Amino acid sequence: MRSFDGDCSFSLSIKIITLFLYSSILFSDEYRISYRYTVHNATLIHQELAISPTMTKCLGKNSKSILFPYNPTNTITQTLLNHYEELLSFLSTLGIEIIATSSTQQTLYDTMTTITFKTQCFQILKQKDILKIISLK
Amino acid sequence: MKYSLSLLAIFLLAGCAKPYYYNKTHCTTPTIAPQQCVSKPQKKVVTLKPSLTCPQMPLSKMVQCQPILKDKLLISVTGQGVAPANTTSPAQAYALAKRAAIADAYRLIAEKVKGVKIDGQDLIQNMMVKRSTVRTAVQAMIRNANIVETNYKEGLCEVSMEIALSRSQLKL
Repeated sequence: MRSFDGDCSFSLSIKIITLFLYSSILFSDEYRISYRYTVHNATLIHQELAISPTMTKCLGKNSKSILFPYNPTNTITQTLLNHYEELLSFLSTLGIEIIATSSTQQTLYDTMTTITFKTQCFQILKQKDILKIISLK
Repeated sequence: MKYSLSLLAIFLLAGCAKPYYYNKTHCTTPTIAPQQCVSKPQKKVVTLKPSLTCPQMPLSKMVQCQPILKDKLLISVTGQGVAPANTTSPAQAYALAKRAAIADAYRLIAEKVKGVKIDGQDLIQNMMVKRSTVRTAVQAMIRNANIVETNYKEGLCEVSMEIALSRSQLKL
């Protein structure tokens, strides 16, 4: 039996496909990255790098960018983790927050430094064998 | 008569002429601080504005030494870090020590630029100092600091870091 607007399942499938394409175009290439590490008495005791795809569209304009070699067999997260050092130096150019405390009690000196790169949105473009990461501000 | 007139004219013209080194004597060469003249190949060098430099000075010389620009201030620090005892490889030890040294360098920059909050406390009991504590704290946001040099020797990593700031950023 046909509905009043024709083939209902066909129009529904088109709507689903359109919605899927729209969402994939908008959100699939945007990631949120944050990083934090703690140094206690000149020794690194904890570090954490978090990379996750965004669930909502990021607001902001394109700012600084960096290029990485990209292998299509690897995921974006894997590629970023493979270039850990370069990624961190890039993040530090965007601005990091530092909180350092030290205390001297009698003759004992104790210091704790925490470096934080606050969660920021990045646009990631895949071009053949190059991965371009653009910070959004 | 003709010769004497021509000689007189030559003397007069010679007296009016400016010496050829006139421009050199009036050219202001940029003032260079002794510690900034030590050039390193990795260092980023601030390019000079043409108005500040002497036109007779060769370009290579100008690039080697950094002048004291009125609106820029270069802060350089050296951070130190050591690797933890329980590392699986020398490469991991190096990476962790470097990360700690970078954090130390950032802290030193923050201390220089923003200053340190110091809190001291002494506990005296029965006319004797029982406990003496000094706490320091610094909190800052740092951007565009560059690593100039990294040295790793016997488990100690030293990272030299530089940051260029304008007077307006320092709010001096």
